[in-house]
Amino acid sequence: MASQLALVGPDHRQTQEDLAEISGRFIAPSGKLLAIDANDPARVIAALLAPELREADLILVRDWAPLDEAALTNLGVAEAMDENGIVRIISERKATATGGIWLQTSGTTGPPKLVRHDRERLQGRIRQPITEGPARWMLTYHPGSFAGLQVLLTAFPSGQPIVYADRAKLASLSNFPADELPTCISATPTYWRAMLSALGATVQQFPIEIATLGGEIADQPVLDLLAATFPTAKITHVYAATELGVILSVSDRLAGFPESWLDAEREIKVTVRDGMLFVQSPFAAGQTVRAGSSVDAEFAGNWTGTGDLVEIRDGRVFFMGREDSVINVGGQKVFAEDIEQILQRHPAVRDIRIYAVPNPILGTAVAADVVLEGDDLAGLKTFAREHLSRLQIPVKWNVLDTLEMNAAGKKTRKATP
Amino acid sequence: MTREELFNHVRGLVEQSIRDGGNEPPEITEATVLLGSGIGLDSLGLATIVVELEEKTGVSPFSGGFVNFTTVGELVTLFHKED
Repeated sequence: MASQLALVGPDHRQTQEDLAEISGRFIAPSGKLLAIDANDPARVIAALLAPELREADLILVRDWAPLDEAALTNLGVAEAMDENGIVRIISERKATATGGIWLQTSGTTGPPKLVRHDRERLQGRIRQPITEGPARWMLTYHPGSFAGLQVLLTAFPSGQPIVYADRAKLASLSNFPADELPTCISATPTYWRAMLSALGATVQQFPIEIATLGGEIADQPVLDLLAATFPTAKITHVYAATELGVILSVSDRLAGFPESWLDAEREIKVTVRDGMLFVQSPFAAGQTVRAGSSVDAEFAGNWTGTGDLVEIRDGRVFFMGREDSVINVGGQKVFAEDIEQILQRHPAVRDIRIYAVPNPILGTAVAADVVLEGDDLAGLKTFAREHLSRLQIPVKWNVLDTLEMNAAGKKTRKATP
Repeated sequence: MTREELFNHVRGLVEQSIRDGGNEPPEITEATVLLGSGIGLDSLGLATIVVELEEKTGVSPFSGGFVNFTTVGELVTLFHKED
């Protein structure tokens, strides 16, 4: 059967030939380390599908800033494809590439890390979903993220077109030809809410067989909303991390996961220590590298703290948020300290505390308690819009006389009720 | 607040959010689709509007979790409290 693999959307269409043309631009790919701008799904799909790149190691680059010429040379990158699809030769040095895929993590403070997964192992872990019709996947995640990569590797064997729609134009999917509508969608809860909101009742005509949630905590209301919208679909929420791979996959339409999975003899082991979930997985990333330096950590086979806090209730383990100051805003990680440091620069800020608040649209969002010098909150809000990235901007501002400190003299980061 | 006053308030919030994103808002009506229709509002903008409406009206339509809504009119209905 001829593969119909292509990338389709309401206002774009790239055929298999178009995709082959992109990957054909590399000159000496086999056995080399290649860096590819991963902000265009067509480019990522082209690189992953090209037979001549199977033996290459691919770095999927979301942000070139830490991967300047020197860092690329240091890593032994042979060729790099920029956001315009232009290939540059970086180094003649031979890197020992054997089919790895390197992902950039969103990174805490310090230089972002690169995490290497073995492609064969990733592919081997993927279970093809059982669907009645053809499995047409929709890519909703960033194509250079772990979740995006999972979707692409799952979608390829079907040979079906992959659907991709600009988030701002999701409503136009309702004009999409019925035989090209996606049947399998994996998305963050925030994306699902935005999609259901954008499409209204028309979304019920979508032939959805597989509905997967990942990247954020899936609460019971969002699972119930999906179950009501797509009554016959298989609904699964997945817990995964770039460094650790897919850890849990839950398909009983209930939030959290069964307590009996803790400390069980499973391929991927999970346990709770001091309220935090720990994982030991043979499928974790082989190695992690900070740009321009040597191997940072090995995750495969080692017990690793996830930073995610859990609570056990009625035989079920529920995710409660982060142990550190990471805030998961609609599936993207932002760091409370980063936001505090930036806003502290505004002259009206005497003291500021950034923390997570539950939000019906974004799951969790950023809130600020601020002690002002004067009363120019409007000016501070403008400053925030100009200096913070979109998801770092607080959705809620509380002006206080003083910030509460804990016993150690540190600002407490607990949400005020 | 009458329903009309609340609609005007919501319209003002939507227009401001679109302007904050550097875009010129189109005419906002009850039937305007909030997300994914190309008007220039994203999930963060909508999240902020919802927080502001909760503070303004004292109504928390999402206290039990997300309730689906599509248009400006549906959002107004969620926050409109009968006097």
